Amino acid sequence: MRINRRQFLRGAGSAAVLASGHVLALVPRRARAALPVNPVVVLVQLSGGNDWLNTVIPVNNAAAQRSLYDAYRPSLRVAASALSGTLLGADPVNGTTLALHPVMTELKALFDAGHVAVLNGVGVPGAPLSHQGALDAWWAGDPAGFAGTGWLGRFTDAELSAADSPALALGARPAGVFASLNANALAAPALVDFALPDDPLHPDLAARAAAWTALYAADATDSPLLARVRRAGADVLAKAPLFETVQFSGWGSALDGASSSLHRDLLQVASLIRYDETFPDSASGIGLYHVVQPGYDTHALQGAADPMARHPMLLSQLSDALAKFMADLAALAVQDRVLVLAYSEFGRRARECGSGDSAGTDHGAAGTVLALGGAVVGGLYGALPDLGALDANGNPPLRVDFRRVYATVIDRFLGADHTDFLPGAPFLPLGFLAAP
Amino acid sequence: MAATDILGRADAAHLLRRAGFGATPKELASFAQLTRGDAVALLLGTKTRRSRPPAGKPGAASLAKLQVWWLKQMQSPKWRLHEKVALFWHAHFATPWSAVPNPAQLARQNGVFREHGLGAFRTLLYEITRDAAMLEFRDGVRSGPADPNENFARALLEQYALGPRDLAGMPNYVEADVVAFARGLTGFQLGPKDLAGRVELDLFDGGSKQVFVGNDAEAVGVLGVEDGSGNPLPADRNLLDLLFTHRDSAGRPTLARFIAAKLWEWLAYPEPELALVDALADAFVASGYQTRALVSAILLRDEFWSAAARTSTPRTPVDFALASLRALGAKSSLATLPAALARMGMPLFDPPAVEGFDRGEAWLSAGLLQRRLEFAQALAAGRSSKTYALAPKKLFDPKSTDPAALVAGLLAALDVVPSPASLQVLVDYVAGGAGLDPKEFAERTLRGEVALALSLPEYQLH
Repeated sequence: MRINRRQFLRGAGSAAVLASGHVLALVPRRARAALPVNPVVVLVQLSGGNDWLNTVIPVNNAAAQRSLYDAYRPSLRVAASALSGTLLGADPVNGTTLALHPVMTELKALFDAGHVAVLNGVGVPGAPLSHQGALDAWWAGDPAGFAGTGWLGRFTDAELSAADSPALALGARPAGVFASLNANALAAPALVDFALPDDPLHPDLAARAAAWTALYAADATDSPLLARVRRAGADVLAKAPLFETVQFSGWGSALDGASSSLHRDLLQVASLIRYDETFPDSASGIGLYHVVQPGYDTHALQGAADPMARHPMLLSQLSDALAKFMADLAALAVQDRVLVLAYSEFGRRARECGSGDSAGTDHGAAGTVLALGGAVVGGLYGALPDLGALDANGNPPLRVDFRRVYATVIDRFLGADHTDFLPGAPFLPLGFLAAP
Repeated sequence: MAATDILGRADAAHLLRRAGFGATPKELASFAQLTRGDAVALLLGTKTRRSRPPAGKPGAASLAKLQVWWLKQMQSPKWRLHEKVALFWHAHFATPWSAVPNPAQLARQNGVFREHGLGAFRTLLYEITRDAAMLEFRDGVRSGPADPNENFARALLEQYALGPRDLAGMPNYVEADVVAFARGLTGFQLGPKDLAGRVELDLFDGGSKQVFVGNDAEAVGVLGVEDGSGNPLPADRNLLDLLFTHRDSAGRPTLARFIAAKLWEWLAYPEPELALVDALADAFVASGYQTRALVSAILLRDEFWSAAARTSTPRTPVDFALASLRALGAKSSLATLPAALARMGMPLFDPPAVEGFDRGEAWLSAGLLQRRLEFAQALAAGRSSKTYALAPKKLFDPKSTDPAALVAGLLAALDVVPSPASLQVLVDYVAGGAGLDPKEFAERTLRGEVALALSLPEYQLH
């Protein structure tokens, strides 16, 4: 992403406005030497609502968290003895030792290397427990829900022109997080096979492509809907040659060896980043990515520790894919300008439902965000929600407003000012990215 | 215009696109002679359709068989509206093969959409509540009195019957209602080969529950669905019946408004006006929640025929593909169509999200449009009915050499009106093949022209 940073002309008066409960010292902007050039943000959505309590697990009984965990989850609990290989350290607030699920050994190694921040207790205040309703809030960066633009879409509107296509959502559906007023977000199920079709028996691609180019040229008389179609068509024509080149020059041949659909998507992201790094003159201009790992809606048959069970299998694939992606970035020496955020629309209920193998968890509140990258200051942030303080719906109260995570990314990685993009701002940034 | 006026070709095409899956030129000519009322009555018919797909053995081949079988039903001239409504219910109650890879169960559910799709919505809702595929998908068979599973209860309120919020943006229910519904929906059991479950009292939460406090539908007592002998509970204790008495913050019937608006969006255009929704909801209620009456009310509204309704909505992939096959007279075994539909984002029997298939502008992403171009190309280049058999000589006037006339004929068959600039592009492309020998002109230029026409921006909307 080539960011043309705007000149922030701010009067002294605007710096002092603080919402109650948020302590934010707005200081004059300094040189931003530490900010990455051409930053890339990769959002990974754990779709369905991840059971974060079985992802970041209390190990010892400080603040009674382990005995509460055991009591809430007679079938789904992961034994403390199984967690010795994936310990993360003591929770900064309640002191409970925390560990990753035992299958997440790759993520644990990255954590030990200092490249992973585990942001616990993050959630959307008052979020609905419907998948789309909660996801809309995460995408909008607004607890009130989605009103046409996503938090990163607003950022692209401010920083980029309408000619740019700065964002790409891999998956069947567009990601509302990139929805913007001006800039154009691409969405595609895959970059593989993203080519202009032709008739092998009577080929005529050159003439056909010229005709398509004319058909999809902007037309001032279009309805908004028709303009959308033409823009999508223009994107196909513009991006098909690029994605074909990426596929053949990058890791395209390795896609068949992908170990999961998430790994396959992240391989395609890495291929584009590699292409941009290698050929800056014809770079894609894409700096924002969204990928989805489906399957987390584990109302039943969730599984506890068995690596082949449903939820552990997902966590294992997540850990594996993230580690392979980070290794790809390291091989390109671009890890400092790439930030990965893994999030889910909500967590799940503290108490399991069902029993034995069929046990699962219903929709809950508060969860964790994982941040990975060379710029990340690894460690534990926030705090695991207090299992001793469940609300009337059986959910622990959240500890960290999700907008603090976004504020940190905007201020400390994208080099903008989050108060321009997040309703309810200012928010106190978290320490997982160093202040520039 | 009134229900007694003659349709004409443009209105006939609009009706057959929306209340069906497109039309042949012959069908357009014949429907054009009918009155609006007669055309709608003809499509609706009076009969109930009871067929369901043959269920093969478990395995991916059975999924393909289900998909091809259904696509063939959609091509049936007589039942097109019935199938369009069945597809609506499939998207509404989205139960994916990926979660329930059981052909017999999914075949039964599909049959429910056909048998009850135009009948009483109350019956449809009950049949889906006890449907084997749904009980597996939403964990109804794993929900007992000790630990009720909220999966189906939440979906019932949010997605199937009420919607999370009403038209004024006010919540229709609270978390406590989800919990109470989950308790009332416990106890469903399914024998190994059963295609519908029944409530066993020893696995049912027989305690007192309270729902919808402060609403017209407020109820307290041993609420549930069945009495333990396979009979429905009386209406005042039946959770499904209570949904029909729920009133939103405007005091209007929540379920009727929710279903009326969603079905309107499926058949007509997005974000219908409030007065329109209420008129449709009133018709739905007055009929005793007969979906046939609601569909009839939708198709007879002036707004359905208005200019605003034309080209107001992206065609779904199923609409796009079947209308193209029909308009172009392409023969097809349909064997490759399910995979093409999946690539375009609409795998039948396997909706990709719990909310069903994409809707509206989500269909217009670059990635999905590229896959429409792939399908357009495959159809245009189709030379065998194993895939698609398209005959340029039948489609275009073999005696004509005038590019403008050739293009006009194709566009009339497709019933699409491109912008003047787009039309010129299509004419120029045909003119560009002028020097070719007749066979190459037909095989390269005319087939290429079909691919271009199907990729017209205007053709992606209907």
